[in-house]
Amino acid sequence: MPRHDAPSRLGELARRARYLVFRGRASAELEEEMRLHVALREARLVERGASPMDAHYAARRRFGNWTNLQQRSRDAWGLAWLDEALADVRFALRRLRARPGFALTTILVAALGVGATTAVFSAIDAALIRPLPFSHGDELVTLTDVGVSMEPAPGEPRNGPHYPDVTDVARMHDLFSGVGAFAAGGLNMDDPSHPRRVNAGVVTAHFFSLLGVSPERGREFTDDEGRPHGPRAVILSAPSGVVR
Amino acid sequence: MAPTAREEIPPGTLDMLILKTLASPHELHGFEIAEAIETRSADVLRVEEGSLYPALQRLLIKGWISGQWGRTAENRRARYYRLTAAGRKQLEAEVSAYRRVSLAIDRILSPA
Repeated sequence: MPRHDAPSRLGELARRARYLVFRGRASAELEEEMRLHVALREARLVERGASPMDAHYAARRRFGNWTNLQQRSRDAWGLAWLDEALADVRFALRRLRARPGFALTTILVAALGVGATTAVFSAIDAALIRPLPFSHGDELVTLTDVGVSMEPAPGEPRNGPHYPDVTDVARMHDLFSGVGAFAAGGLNMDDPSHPRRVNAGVVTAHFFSLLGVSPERGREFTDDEGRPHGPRAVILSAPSGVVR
Repeated sequence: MAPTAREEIPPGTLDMLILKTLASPHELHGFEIAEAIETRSADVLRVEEGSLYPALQRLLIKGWISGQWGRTAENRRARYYRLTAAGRKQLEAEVSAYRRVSLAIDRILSPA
Protein backbone atom coordinates (compact mmCIF):
# COMPACT_ATOMS: atom_id res chain seq x y z
CA MET A 1 0.00 0.00 0.00
CA PRO A 2 1.44 3.40 -0.86
CA ARG A 3 2.53 5.66 1.94
CA HIS A 4 0.58 8.86 2.10
CA ASP A 5 2.49 11.95 1.20
CA ALA A 6 3.66 14.59 3.64
CA PRO A 7 0.85 17.15 3.14
CA SER A 8 -1.82 14.60 4.04
CA ARG A 9 0.19 13.68 7.11
CA LEU A 10 0.19 17.31 8.15
CA GLY A 11 -3.53 17.38 7.52
CA GLU A 12 -3.92 14.34 9.71
CA LEU A 13 -2.08 16.07 12.53
CA ALA A 14 -4.27 19.14 12.13
CA ARG A 15 -7.40 17.00 12.26
CA ARG A 16 -6.15 15.21 15.36
CA ALA A 17 -5.47 18.57 16.97
CA ARG A 18 -9.01 19.64 16.16
CA TYR A 19 -10.39 16.52 17.84
CA LEU A 20 -8.21 17.31 20.83
CA VAL A 21 -9.80 20.74 21.17
CA PHE A 22 -13.36 19.80 20.28
CA ARG A 23 -13.42 16.31 21.73
CA GLY A 24 -16.61 16.99 23.68
CA ARG A 25 -18.44 17.99 20.53
CA ALA A 26 -16.92 15.15 18.53
CA SER A 27 -18.11 12.64 21.15
CA ALA A 28 -21.61 14.09 21.11
CA GLU A 29 -21.74 13.95 17.32
CA LEU A 30 -20.54 10.38 17.29
CA GLU A 31 -23.17 9.42 19.84
CA GLU A 32 -25.91 11.13 17.82
CA GLU A 33 -24.79 9.31 14.68
CA MET A 34 -24.82 5.95 16.39
CA ARG A 35 -28.26 6.57 17.93
CA LEU A 36 -29.67 7.48 14.53
CA HIS A 37 -28.30 4.27 13.09
CA VAL A 38 -29.97 2.10 15.72
CA ALA A 39 -33.23 4.01 15.38
CA LEU A 40 -33.23 3.60 11.61
CA ARG A 41 -32.44 -0.10 11.89
CA GLU A 42 -35.26 -0.50 14.39
CA ALA A 43 -37.69 1.25 12.05
CA ARG A 44 -36.52 -0.87 9.13
CA LEU A 45 -37.13 -4.08 11.11
CA VAL A 46 -40.62 -2.94 12.10
CA GLU A 47 -41.33 -2.15 8.45
CA ARG A 48 -40.43 -5.74 7.65
CA GLY A 49 -42.90 -7.06 10.15
CA ALA A 50 -41.00 -7.42 13.40
CA SER A 51 -42.80 -6.52 16.61
CA PRO A 52 -41.60 -3.19 18.05
CA MET A 53 -40.15 -5.01 21.03
CA ASP A 54 -38.21 -7.51 18.90
CA ALA A 55 -37.06 -4.72 16.60
CA HIS A 56 -35.82 -2.70 19.56
CA TYR A 57 -33.58 -5.50 20.83
CA ALA A 58 -32.56 -6.83 17.43
CA ALA A 59 -31.37 -3.41 16.28
CA ARG A 60 -29.18 -3.07 19.36
CA ARG A 61 -27.87 -6.60 19.02
CA ARG A 62 -26.90 -5.99 15.44
CA PHE A 63 -25.17 -2.79 16.31
CA GLY A 64 -22.82 -4.34 18.86
CA ASN A 65 -21.28 -3.24 22.13
CA TRP A 66 -22.06 0.48 22.44
CA THR A 67 -19.39 1.47 24.95
CA ASN A 68 -16.72 -0.55 23.21
CA LEU A 69 -17.54 1.03 19.84
CA GLN A 70 -17.38 4.54 21.27
CA GLN A 71 -14.05 3.71 22.82
CA ARG A 72 -12.70 2.37 19.54
CA SER A 73 -13.92 5.47 17.71
CA ARG A 74 -12.16 7.72 20.17
CA ASP A 75 -9.03 5.61 19.79
CA ALA A 76 -9.12 6.54 16.11
CA TRP A 77 -8.66 10.17 17.15
CA GLY A 78 -5.40 9.15 18.77
CA LEU A 79 -6.40 10.58 22.13
CA ALA A 80 -6.27 7.36 24.11
CA TRP A 81 -2.93 8.47 25.61
CA LEU A 82 -4.54 11.69 26.83
CA ASP A 83 -7.41 9.91 28.57
CA GLU A 84 -4.97 7.48 30.15
CA ALA A 85 -2.60 10.23 31.25
CA LEU A 86 -5.45 12.22 32.81
CA ALA A 87 -6.69 9.13 34.62
CA ASP A 88 -3.16 8.49 35.92
CA VAL A 89 -2.81 12.06 37.16
CA ARG A 90 -6.18 11.93 38.90
CA PHE A 91 -5.26 8.62 40.53
CA ALA A 92 -1.91 9.97 41.70
CA LEU A 93 -3.46 13.11 43.18
CA ARG A 94 -6.07 11.04 45.00
CA ARG A 95 -3.41 8.81 46.53
CA LEU A 96 -1.22 11.75 47.53
CA ARG A 97 -4.11 13.51 49.22
CA ALA A 98 -4.97 10.37 51.16
CA ARG A 99 -1.47 10.25 52.71
CA PRO A 100 -0.06 13.78 52.97
CA GLY A 101 2.92 12.79 55.13
CA PHE A 102 4.05 10.25 52.63
CA ALA A 103 3.41 12.70 49.81
CA LEU A 104 5.51 15.40 51.43
CA THR A 105 8.39 13.00 52.08
CA THR A 106 8.28 11.76 48.51
CA ILE A 107 8.26 15.28 47.09
CA LEU A 108 11.13 16.32 49.36
CA VAL A 109 13.24 13.30 48.42
CA ALA A 110 12.54 13.82 44.74
CA ALA A 111 13.38 17.53 45.01
CA LEU A 112 16.66 16.81 46.79
CA GLY A 113 17.53 14.19 44.19
CA VAL A 114 16.80 16.52 41.31
CA GLY A 115 18.70 19.36 42.96
CA ALA A 116 21.78 17.27 43.67
CA THR A 117 21.82 15.81 40.19
CA THR A 118 21.45 19.24 38.61
CA ALA A 119 24.26 20.67 40.70
CA VAL A 120 26.64 17.81 39.86
CA PHE A 121 25.72 17.99 36.22
CA SER A 122 26.28 21.75 36.04
CA ALA A 123 29.79 21.27 37.43
CA ILE A 124 30.59 18.40 35.07
CA ASP A 125 29.10 20.29 32.13
CA ALA A 126 31.26 23.33 32.78
CA ALA A 127 34.41 21.33 33.48
CA LEU A 128 34.23 18.46 31.03
CA ILE A 129 31.48 18.78 28.45
CA ARG A 130 31.34 22.39 27.35
CA PRO A 131 34.40 23.27 25.24
CA LEU A 132 36.68 26.05 26.43
CA PRO A 133 35.92 29.37 24.76
CA PHE A 134 39.27 29.30 22.95
CA SER A 135 40.21 28.12 19.47
CA HIS A 136 41.44 24.50 19.57
CA GLY A 137 40.46 24.34 23.23
CA ASP A 138 40.92 20.59 23.14
CA GLU A 139 44.63 21.01 22.33
CA LEU A 140 45.37 23.26 25.27
CA VAL A 141 47.60 21.80 27.95
CA THR A 142 48.98 23.33 31.09
CA LEU A 143 52.60 22.65 31.95
CA THR A 144 53.65 23.21 35.52
CA ASP A 145 57.25 23.28 36.69
CA VAL A 146 58.24 25.52 33.80
CA GLY A 147 60.20 28.52 34.89
CA VAL A 148 60.07 32.02 33.53
CA SER A 149 63.47 33.66 33.33
CA MET A 150 63.25 36.87 35.25
CA GLU A 151 65.76 39.61 35.62
CA PRO A 152 67.34 38.67 38.90
CA ALA A 153 67.18 41.16 41.70
CA PRO A 154 70.55 42.89 42.21
CA GLY A 155 72.98 40.60 43.97
CA GLU A 156 70.98 37.42 43.37
CA PRO A 157 72.11 34.76 40.96
CA ARG A 158 70.17 34.28 37.76
CA ASN A 159 67.77 31.29 37.92
CA GLY A 160 69.90 28.24 37.32
CA PRO A 161 69.39 25.91 34.38
CA HIS A 162 67.70 23.35 36.57
CA TYR A 163 64.26 23.82 35.06
CA PRO A 164 63.33 24.29 31.43
CA ASP A 165 61.98 27.80 30.95
CA VAL A 166 59.29 29.10 28.63
CA THR A 167 61.68 29.86 25.79
CA ASP A 168 62.97 26.28 25.92
CA VAL A 169 59.46 24.92 25.69
CA ALA A 170 58.57 27.35 22.89
CA ARG A 171 61.37 25.85 20.84
CA MET A 172 59.68 22.42 20.88
CA HIS A 173 57.87 23.07 17.59
CA ASP A 174 57.14 19.38 17.04
CA LEU A 175 55.15 19.32 20.29
CA PHE A 176 53.53 22.75 20.54
CA SER A 177 52.29 25.12 17.92
CA GLY A 178 52.51 27.94 20.42
CA VAL A 179 53.55 28.55 23.99
CA GLY A 180 52.59 31.26 26.41
CA ALA A 181 52.96 31.75 30.13
CA PHE A 182 50.82 33.38 32.73
CA ALA A 183 50.93 34.10 36.41
CA ALA A 184 47.71 35.09 38.10
CA GLY A 185 47.59 37.26 41.16
CA GLY A 186 46.21 40.45 42.57
CA LEU A 187 47.17 44.06 42.91
CA ASN A 188 46.29 46.74 45.41
CA MET A 189 44.90 49.90 43.87
CA ASP A 190 46.23 52.57 46.18
CA ASP A 191 43.66 55.19 45.37
CA PRO A 192 43.51 56.83 48.83
CA SER A 193 39.86 57.70 48.62
CA HIS A 194 38.85 54.31 47.30
CA PRO A 195 41.52 51.64 47.75
CA ARG A 196 40.71 48.19 46.54
CA ARG A 197 42.06 44.86 45.44
CA VAL A 198 41.88 43.87 41.80
CA ASN A 199 42.62 40.60 40.08
CA ALA A 200 45.60 40.90 37.80
CA GLY A 201 47.96 38.63 35.96
CA VAL A 202 51.15 38.71 33.98
CA VAL A 203 51.26 37.06 30.56
CA THR A 204 53.80 36.65 27.80
CA ALA A 205 53.43 38.51 24.51
CA HIS A 206 51.00 36.88 22.02
CA PHE A 207 49.32 35.05 24.90
CA PHE A 208 45.85 36.06 23.68
CA SER A 209 46.40 35.35 20.01
CA LEU A 210 47.62 31.91 21.06
CA LEU A 211 44.20 31.33 22.67
CA GLY A 212 42.48 32.74 19.61
CA VAL A 213 40.95 35.68 21.43
CA SER A 214 41.54 39.30 20.55
CA PRO A 215 40.84 42.43 22.54
CA GLU A 216 37.55 44.18 21.91
CA ARG A 217 39.44 47.50 21.66
CA GLY A 218 43.12 48.29 21.18
CA ARG A 219 45.72 45.63 20.49
CA GLU A 220 47.57 42.72 21.97
CA PHE A 221 50.94 42.98 23.70
CA THR A 222 53.81 43.39 21.30
CA ASP A 223 57.15 41.56 21.32
CA ASP A 224 58.78 44.65 22.81
CA GLU A 225 56.31 44.75 25.64
CA GLY A 226 57.12 41.09 26.29
CA ARG A 227 60.85 41.73 26.79
CA PRO A 228 62.40 42.60 30.13
CA HIS A 229 62.46 46.38 30.64
CA GLY A 230 60.17 46.76 27.66
CA PRO A 231 57.35 49.30 27.60
CA ARG A 232 54.63 48.68 30.13
CA ALA A 233 51.19 47.82 28.84
CA VAL A 234 47.95 46.56 30.26
CA ILE A 235 44.80 44.97 28.89
CA LEU A 236 41.68 45.53 30.96
CA SER A 237 38.90 43.00 31.21
CA ALA A 238 35.56 44.39 30.16
CA PRO A 239 33.45 44.51 33.31
CA SER A 240 36.21 45.89 35.54
CA GLY A 241 35.16 49.18 37.02
CA VAL A 242 38.73 50.38 36.92
CA VAL A 243 38.35 52.69 33.97
CA ARG A 244 36.72 55.83 35.22
CA MET B 1 -36.04 -12.45 3.00
CA ALA B 2 -34.59 -15.85 2.18
CA PRO B 3 -32.26 -17.07 4.89
CA THR B 4 -28.96 -16.95 3.06
CA ALA B 5 -25.57 -17.72 4.57
CA ARG B 6 -24.19 -14.51 5.99
CA GLU B 7 -20.47 -13.90 6.09
CA GLU B 8 -18.62 -11.48 8.28
CA ILE B 9 -16.60 -8.99 6.29
CA PRO B 10 -12.99 -10.20 6.05
CA PRO B 11 -10.77 -8.31 8.46
CA GLY B 12 -9.06 -5.29 6.99
CA THR B 13 -11.47 -4.88 4.09
CA LEU B 14 -14.11 -2.78 5.83
CA ASP B 15 -12.27 0.48 5.12
CA MET B 16 -12.03 -0.42 1.44
CA LEU B 17 -15.71 -1.31 1.24
CA ILE B 18 -16.70 1.97 2.89
CA LEU B 19 -14.49 3.94 0.51
CA LYS B 20 -15.92 2.09 -2.47
CA THR B 21 -19.48 2.69 -1.27
CA LEU B 22 -18.77 6.38 -0.86
CA ALA B 23 -17.33 6.57 -4.37
CA SER B 24 -20.94 6.92 -5.49
CA PRO B 25 -22.07 10.38 -6.58
CA HIS B 26 -24.28 10.98 -3.52
CA GLU B 27 -23.29 11.47 0.06
CA LEU B 28 -24.43 8.75 2.44
CA HIS B 29 -24.91 8.57 6.18
CA GLY B 30 -23.77 5.63 8.29
CA PHE B 31 -26.91 3.60 8.09
CA GLU B 32 -27.07 4.01 4.31
CA ILE B 33 -23.46 2.85 4.01
CA ALA B 34 -24.24 -0.32 5.96
CA GLU B 35 -27.34 -0.96 3.84
CA ALA B 36 -25.46 -0.32 0.61
CA ILE B 37 -22.71 -2.78 1.46
CA GLU B 38 -25.20 -5.51 2.31
CA THR B 39 -27.37 -4.86 -0.72
CA ARG B 40 -24.49 -4.74 -3.16
CA SER B 41 -23.04 -7.96 -1.84
CA ALA B 42 -26.45 -9.58 -2.53
CA ASP B 43 -26.89 -9.86 1.23
CA VAL B 44 -23.89 -12.14 1.59
CA LEU B 45 -21.72 -9.69 3.50
CA ARG B 46 -22.96 -8.48 6.80
CA VAL B 47 -21.46 -5.42 8.37
CA GLU B 48 -21.20 -5.60 12.11
CA GLU B 49 -23.02 -2.31 12.04
CA GLY B 50 -21.42 -0.64 15.01
CA SER B 51 -17.93 -1.27 13.68
CA LEU B 52 -18.76 1.13 10.88
CA TYR B 53 -18.37 4.07 13.24
CA PRO B 54 -14.81 3.52 14.46
CA ALA B 55 -13.93 2.89 10.80
CA LEU B 56 -15.55 6.15 9.71
CA GLN B 57 -13.65 8.07 12.40
CA ARG B 58 -10.42 6.47 11.22
CA LEU B 59 -11.11 7.46 7.62
CA LEU B 60 -12.06 11.00 8.67
CA ILE B 61 -8.79 11.39 10.54
CA LYS B 62 -6.86 10.09 7.55
CA GLY B 63 -8.62 12.67 5.40
CA TRP B 64 -9.93 10.04 3.00
CA ILE B 65 -13.55 10.98 3.61
CA SER B 66 -15.24 14.14 4.79
CA GLY B 67 -18.46 14.40 6.74
CA GLN B 68 -21.10 17.08 6.77
CA TRP B 69 -24.22 17.30 8.88
CA GLY B 70 -27.48 17.38 6.97
CA ARG B 71 -31.08 16.23 7.25
CA THR B 72 -32.54 12.90 6.23
CA ALA B 73 -35.76 12.57 4.23
CA GLU B 74 -37.53 12.15 7.60
CA ASN B 75 -35.92 15.40 8.72
CA ARG B 76 -33.50 13.85 11.20
CA ARG B 77 -29.99 15.18 11.67
CA ALA B 78 -27.41 12.86 10.13
CA ARG B 79 -23.76 13.12 9.12
CA TYR B 80 -23.33 12.58 5.41
CA TYR B 81 -20.01 11.28 4.16
CA ARG B 82 -18.28 11.69 0.85
CA LEU B 83 -14.97 10.59 -0.60
CA THR B 84 -12.13 13.15 -0.79
CA ALA B 85 -9.52 13.26 -3.56
CA ALA B 86 -7.04 11.57 -1.21
CA GLY B 87 -9.69 8.98 -0.43
CA ARG B 88 -10.15 8.23 -4.11
CA LYS B 89 -6.42 7.59 -4.48
CA GLN B 90 -6.43 5.43 -1.37
CA LEU B 91 -9.37 3.43 -2.72
CA GLU B 92 -7.54 2.72 -5.97
CA ALA B 93 -4.45 1.64 -4.06
CA GLU B 94 -6.41 -0.63 -1.74
CA VAL B 95 -8.42 -2.19 -4.55
CA SER B 96 -5.35 -3.01 -6.62
CA ALA B 97 -3.57 -4.43 -3.57
CA TYR B 98 -6.67 -6.47 -2.76
CA ARG B 99 -6.91 -7.77 -6.32
CA ARG B 100 -3.30 -8.92 -6.29
CA VAL B 101 -3.80 -10.81 -3.04
CA SER B 102 -7.10 -12.32 -4.08
CA LEU B 103 -5.66 -13.42 -7.43
CA ALA B 104 -2.76 -15.08 -5.66
CA ILE B 105 -5.11 -16.89 -3.30
CA ASP B 106 -7.23 -18.02 -6.26
CA ARG B 107 -4.15 -19.49 -7.91
CA ILE B 108 -3.39 -21.53 -4.83
CA LEU B 109 -6.95 -22.73 -4.45
CA SER B 110 -7.60 -23.65 -8.08
CA PRO B 111 -6.64 -27.21 -9.07
CA ALA B 112 -3.31 -27.34 -10.86
